[in-house]
Amino acid sequence: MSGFRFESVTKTFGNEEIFRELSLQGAPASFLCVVGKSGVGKSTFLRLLGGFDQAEKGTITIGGEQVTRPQKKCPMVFQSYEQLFPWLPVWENIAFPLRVIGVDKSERRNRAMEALQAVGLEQDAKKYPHQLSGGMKQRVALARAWIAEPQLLLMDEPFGGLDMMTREVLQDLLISLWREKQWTVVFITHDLREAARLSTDLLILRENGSWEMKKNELSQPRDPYSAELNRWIREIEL
Amino acid sequence: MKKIFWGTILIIALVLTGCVGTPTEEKTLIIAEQYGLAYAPLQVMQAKNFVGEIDPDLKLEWAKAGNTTAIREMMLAGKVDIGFMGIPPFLIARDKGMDWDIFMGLSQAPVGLVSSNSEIQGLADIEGSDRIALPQPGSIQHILLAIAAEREFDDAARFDQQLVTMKHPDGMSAMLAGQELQLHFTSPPFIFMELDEPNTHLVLGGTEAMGGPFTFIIGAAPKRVQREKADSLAVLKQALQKAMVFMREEPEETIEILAQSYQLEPEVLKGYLENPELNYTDEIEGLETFIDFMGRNGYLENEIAADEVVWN
Amino acid sequence: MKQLRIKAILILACCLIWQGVYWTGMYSPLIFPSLGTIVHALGRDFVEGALIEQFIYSMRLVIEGLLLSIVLGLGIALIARSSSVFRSGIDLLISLAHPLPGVALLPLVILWAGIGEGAVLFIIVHSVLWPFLVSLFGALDRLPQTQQEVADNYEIFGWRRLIWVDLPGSFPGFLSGVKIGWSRAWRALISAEMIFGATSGSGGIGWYLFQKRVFMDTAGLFAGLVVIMVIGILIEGIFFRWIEKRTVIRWGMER
Repeated sequence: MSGFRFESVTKTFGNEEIFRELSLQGAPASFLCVVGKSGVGKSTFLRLLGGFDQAEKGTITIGGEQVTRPQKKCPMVFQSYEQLFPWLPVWENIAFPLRVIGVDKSERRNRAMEALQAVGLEQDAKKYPHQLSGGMKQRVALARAWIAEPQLLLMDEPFGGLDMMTREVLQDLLISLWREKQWTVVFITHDLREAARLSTDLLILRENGSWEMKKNELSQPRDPYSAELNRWIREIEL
Repeated sequence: MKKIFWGTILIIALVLTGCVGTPTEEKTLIIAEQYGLAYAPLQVMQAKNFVGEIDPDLKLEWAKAGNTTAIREMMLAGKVDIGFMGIPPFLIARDKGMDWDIFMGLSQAPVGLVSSNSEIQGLADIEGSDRIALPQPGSIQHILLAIAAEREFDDAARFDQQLVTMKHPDGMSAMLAGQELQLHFTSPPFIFMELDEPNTHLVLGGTEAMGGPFTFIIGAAPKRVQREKADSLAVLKQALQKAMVFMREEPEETIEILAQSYQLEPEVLKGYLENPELNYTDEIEGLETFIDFMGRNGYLENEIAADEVVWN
Repeated sequence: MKQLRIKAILILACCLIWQGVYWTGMYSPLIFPSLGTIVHALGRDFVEGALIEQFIYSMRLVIEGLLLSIVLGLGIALIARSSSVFRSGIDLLISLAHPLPGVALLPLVILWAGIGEGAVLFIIVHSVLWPFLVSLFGALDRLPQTQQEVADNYEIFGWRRLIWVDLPGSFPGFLSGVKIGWSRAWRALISAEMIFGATSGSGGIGWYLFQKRVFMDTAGLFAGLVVIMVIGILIEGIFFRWIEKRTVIRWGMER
């Protein structure tokens, strides 16, 4: 698990400055949620970190190494269902990162089955993505992202299109997996309740290019509807 | 709604009138011809307006066809009144039940098999892998080759699977490209142009193949035209005969006229026209030989009597 | 099954209309032969003639030409993805070559490929390659962005990218390119055989059709056309459908 660092990063979009001199650090095994109003630059932040986009000024490092392009040790879970390969059955989608590094078929199969169990989809190993519900698809994407022991897990509003109940179930799953595997996670959401439940750290991006980092010291377990949590949410200015 | 309805009716009506292909009320003859020196009397007749001299009311319309098959199909569909073609293609149509007759001959011409391969001196030198270019199967070129094959090897169909179908100009450029194609059975002016090249020679002449003189191109007309346009047909025949006489008596002017339409140098054209084997005459020669050969070898299925197919 | 029944009824209706037109005698039987003579010609040429051989020969050439075009097309696609200069060049070549019917290039064909099987294959490849590339490029250009980013994420490039991600992802376009190529190949083969004749043995179906035409055996001509139509229906209805079931339908990727 790696930490990451932004040093004086400035990113412009046309005439607009999305971040100005953004400098922050993410500790290893931390869970950073990035929140902010729509269009403020949350996805851009994640894409810069993931190497899918480049900043005009400043440096971004992961585990001390500078980020220039996407890396397989920093997998991203996208919001779009197109992230799964429709021509591969579920277990092969999940095992894909292992195939890329040359793991042989039977070991891939075993590890994929383990991952499927962890996300509760053992029954659906041979199905094709188009046969799954939205929630199931995102579980598959999640399993794929952590199967190859990532240094950093990037998640771009992965539960965005799902209903409340499914979201909560997936949040529970994510928390328990994260506790076990101790990944460093950067998670974008527009749902403050979700951020309250999941995060150890919170990054608030604001419209004028400014930003604020906060620690999340809510006690565990975090009931999504507790008074404490609601208070915490109200104190956040977007 | 009403407008759309009547508009549609109008369009359909217009389209349908276009589909009707019968000849018009005024006196016309629609003639299909092909490209080549063998059709020269047609060009001369047109240029000198011999038809107009005999009958000013008769209009001629022309359709240029790519090959004999196209002419036959035009005649079948009634789009054309008169077609000029070789005797074998005519016989094939006649055999299949077309009620056409030959109303005159047009030309005799030196046709033959040219080769760019010095090792091929006679038909026996042609191997199974050699391809022979000619206008199409069933053409007079094919049949002459078959007649020679029957005479020499007792196997008329010997070369039938070695044919490559090419119009004369294409066949000539393929030959002269000096690559795979080394045999071309062709007619004037192409045969002259090919033989003018340094490395070519004649493997088999038309008369040699036939065993005697023969008419190269004849004019054919369906019974319908013979019935309904008998006088026009007679006028056409007369006019063409006049053209043939003119070509014999006025060679200078003939060359002028033809040099234009064939895009050949007058000197060169003169040489071609002076070839003794190139004759423009309305006689019909070789008909029985063709009928006999083609019947014997299965190119014709039915009996045809030579005098039945000639119109008078 | 219902689809099949509808198609069968339509075919029956066409046959009835055909025979009806024949009976009115509107057209000469040389242009419009009766169903009986057509069937008779079909039977005769299968049994006595070389129609089966010719059909197999043509089939072989079509498959060879199609495979050759696919391999070439994939190779070109691979290079075009890494070099935008090459891609522009190919786009230009496609727009120049695509509209030209192979038969119009006859002198060039003869110069480069001779007058035998090679020339026929050349004409087939020319008729298949350009529309195939258009389909393939079209599909490759329209791959979902997220999918591409996933592939970038896992650092897959070059040859592996093409085979593991891009080709499967563009398979629907690839397949429709192949289907189009299949029918183009047949058309090209038939017109090429009409010129080049029997490039081996007794030649192929195009040569058969041509001989029927010049010897005015119209019933035989239509019989040959029937054979070609039946082949077309079988291949599309059975073979391509089989492939679709195992690929685009199974993957939920039908367009």
